[in-house]
Amino acid sequence: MKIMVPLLIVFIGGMLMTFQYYIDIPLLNNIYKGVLDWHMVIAVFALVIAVKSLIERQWKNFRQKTEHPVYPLTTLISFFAVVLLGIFFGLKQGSPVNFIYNNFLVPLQATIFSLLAFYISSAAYRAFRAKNFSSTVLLIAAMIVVMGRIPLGDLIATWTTISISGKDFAILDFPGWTRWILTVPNVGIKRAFIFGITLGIVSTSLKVILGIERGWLK
Amino acid sequence: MKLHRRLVYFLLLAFILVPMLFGLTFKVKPTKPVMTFFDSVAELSPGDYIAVTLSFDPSTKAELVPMLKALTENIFENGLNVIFLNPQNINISDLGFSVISDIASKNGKIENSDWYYLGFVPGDKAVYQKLGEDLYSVYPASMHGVKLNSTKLYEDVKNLRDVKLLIDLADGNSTVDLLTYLSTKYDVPMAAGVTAVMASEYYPYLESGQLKGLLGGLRGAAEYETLLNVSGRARRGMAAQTLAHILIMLLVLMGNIEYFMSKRKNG
Repeated sequence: MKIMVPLLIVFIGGMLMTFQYYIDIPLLNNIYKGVLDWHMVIAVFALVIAVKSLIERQWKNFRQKTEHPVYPLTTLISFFAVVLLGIFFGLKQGSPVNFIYNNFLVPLQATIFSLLAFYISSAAYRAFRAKNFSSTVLLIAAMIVVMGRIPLGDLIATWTTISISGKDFAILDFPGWTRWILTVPNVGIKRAFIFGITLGIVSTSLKVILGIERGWLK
Repeated sequence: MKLHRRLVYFLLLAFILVPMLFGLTFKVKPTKPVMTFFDSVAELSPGDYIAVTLSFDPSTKAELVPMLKALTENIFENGLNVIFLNPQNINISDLGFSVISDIASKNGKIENSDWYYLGFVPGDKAVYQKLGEDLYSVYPASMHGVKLNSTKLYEDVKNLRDVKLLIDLADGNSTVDLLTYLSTKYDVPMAAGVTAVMASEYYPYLESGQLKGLLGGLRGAAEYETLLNVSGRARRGMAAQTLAHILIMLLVLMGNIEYFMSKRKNG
């Protein structure tokens, strides 16, 4: 019973939603709309679980006197401060939460992400080597795409354009080569990935709906 | 001779700062995905509705806010009505609103009449599907609490099937989710603006015609500004990005020369 009931719910739910996509029946459409509402309600509960988990984890880290207890403490204080300020002063423009958002969150996130540029440049110098055939192909493709995506690539293409029997032809056509890389090998490989992943999703979903895959019950 | 990591950092900082300080700009030639995007917006008639989802965090604002600015300018210039929403990322609500409201007030556009900002709701993919069924069960009010059933939007748009174009500005997987759960299912034409590192992911959707255009990173925003004939933050930023890319290429070249020299030395 403990196994059969959940399997039955998944089977009926999965089948209904699959048929609903292809067959236009008002009853199925109404069930579908109801399921979407449930999904959104459950998502709100997921937020509650996330908050509970965050508080528990950070409090545990603080109590266990880890190497840097200031970090979990900062997380907890920031969390409660923002929640309380939001409850008492609202979220409108000019509110304390809005001030914290504009003057802490936005610059902090932008700064952390910007630091990537420095790490990438250092890593490119130290690690991007033509050690074998595959890495050489990757290196050449990367250099062409970089050149094709910056205005210098456009300029070089213009400078090296010659006219052959009335037709313009760029000798170093970085934008054209970039376009070819992006629209031919890139699209082909990406499509193969998409099809492979999608077929995997379909087969796994079918296994779950038909009760063949039961790992989720444990 | 090996370059010290700090010297690499310093060089990059200099290559980024110098063009910004001296106001250097480069001409950017628009590419086909950007021109298709621009045409998709241009072919709409004044009064048509368009929806723009902001699916990014402030961390990628350097690439996506110039895109949002150029796009919003263009939408308002063309007299389109626009619904902005961010069902994926709660963190963009305030930043997105302040960018849009600045441009709207410059263009004399009124909130909750010419444009609507609906903000965030939790629910992820279920929200996308629900938007294709009933907009007001997901968003009964705007982000600042204005009841939508008292606005013109309520009369004109029942769900996102009623918008002529859906645009996603994203730094994550939201574009694929919107294509799967909203655009393809409910037949809503869609275009996207994404970060540069993600742009290659979306070429299959562009080639298949599922995306009506694609803006890729700062370059995409700069191309859009070129088509609009304005010199905004993206075109100014392209000079810094160009020099930074040239430096990275030189570093890769130097690294490889060193590698082959040491390989030769060690036999």
